[in-house]
Amino acid sequence: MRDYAARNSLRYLLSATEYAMPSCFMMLNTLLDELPRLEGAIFFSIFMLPQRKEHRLRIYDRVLAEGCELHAALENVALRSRDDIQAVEDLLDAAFTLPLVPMGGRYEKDEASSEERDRDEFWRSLTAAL
Amino acid sequence: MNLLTTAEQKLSDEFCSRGFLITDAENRAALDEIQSAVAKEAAQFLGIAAPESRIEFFDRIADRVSPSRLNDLRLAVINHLQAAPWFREAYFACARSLIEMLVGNELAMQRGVGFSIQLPEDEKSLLPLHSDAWSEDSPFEVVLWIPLVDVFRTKSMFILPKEHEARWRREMPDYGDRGIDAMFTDMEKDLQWLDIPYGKVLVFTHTLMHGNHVNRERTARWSMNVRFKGLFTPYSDKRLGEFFEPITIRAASRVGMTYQQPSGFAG
Repeated sequence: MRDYAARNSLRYLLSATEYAMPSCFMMLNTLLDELPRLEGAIFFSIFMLPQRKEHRLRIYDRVLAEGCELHAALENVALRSRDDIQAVEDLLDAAFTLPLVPMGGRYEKDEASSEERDRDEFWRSLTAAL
Repeated sequence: MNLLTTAEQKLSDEFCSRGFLITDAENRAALDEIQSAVAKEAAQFLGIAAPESRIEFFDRIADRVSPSRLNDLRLAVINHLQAAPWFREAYFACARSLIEMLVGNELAMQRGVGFSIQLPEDEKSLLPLHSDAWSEDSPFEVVLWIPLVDVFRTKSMFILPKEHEARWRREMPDYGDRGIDAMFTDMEKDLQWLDIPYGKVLVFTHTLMHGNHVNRERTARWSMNVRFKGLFTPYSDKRLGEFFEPITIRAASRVGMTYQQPSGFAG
């Protein structure tokens, strides 16, 4: 994330870590309260956003209303204006649909990788969306 | 029931039996724009004026760039292309209907671009024999590989034709201790070097073994590669979001992805 900030000429201030409880966004909500004093937030991954669309749209509204930006370092996406919302939502909507498609959207190369993916945050978050 | 048209079936059969297709770029203007942008950026990196003959400039780049500077040149070009808002659409346009016909019309496209310059006799810029499906890639992906110069023989990439694939897949464990280079040496007679003039593109399944070796020709290879897959086909470690992004979501999928069933019934 520091590398992402440096590459995009963003001033990296502090990091915040969300609590581990499923669907807990307390730290995120605290961060959103700080927006008037910030230029934006960098998420490690766009998949850290809430899985419910209405919650995400409220977050975008708050970020943009404060003149801030929302970035996701892993996927290298940025939300700087309302024009950027559709692309972010397209990605998330498509990803959250994957558990419903044939093979659960996952190609398992062997049993070990299947077990590893059961522990993988990305795939767990997609499955949790169902 | 198979409702592919005769033309679609012919291409589909050829792709399934060979594992690759070489065809004219569907949008020559888009391809030329990409070639032009690469030439301009490379010239700027070298501090010279944009070349009149791009192919001659590319072919003879070894006269201007040493192997030690090659990666810096490559990165300068990649960064420029990836920042250009027109680039991804132009790249897709080079084989859009072919990819749609082979893969589907609801697609995910690799976010970055693979870009390779292989100087003559350079033993460092090699891509050993491999299949991408052995590591992080889903077998549901295809690669759109585009040369920016005429490529042939060792200036090109090699592919193991499908008719030899089953045999070498069976024999591969025998090379477990000897390594992939030993396998390449023994397999070399079965490999096909792809002859692709500038203006043509290659679409292949990276489930086939492929790679490149030392360029023994007199001119340099410049080529690009980007992966495509069906948006809702299985992903491996190259994931939607981090590696791929949706590019052609259809209306029915938009409706389906955001549909909410009535709920809250008390029973």
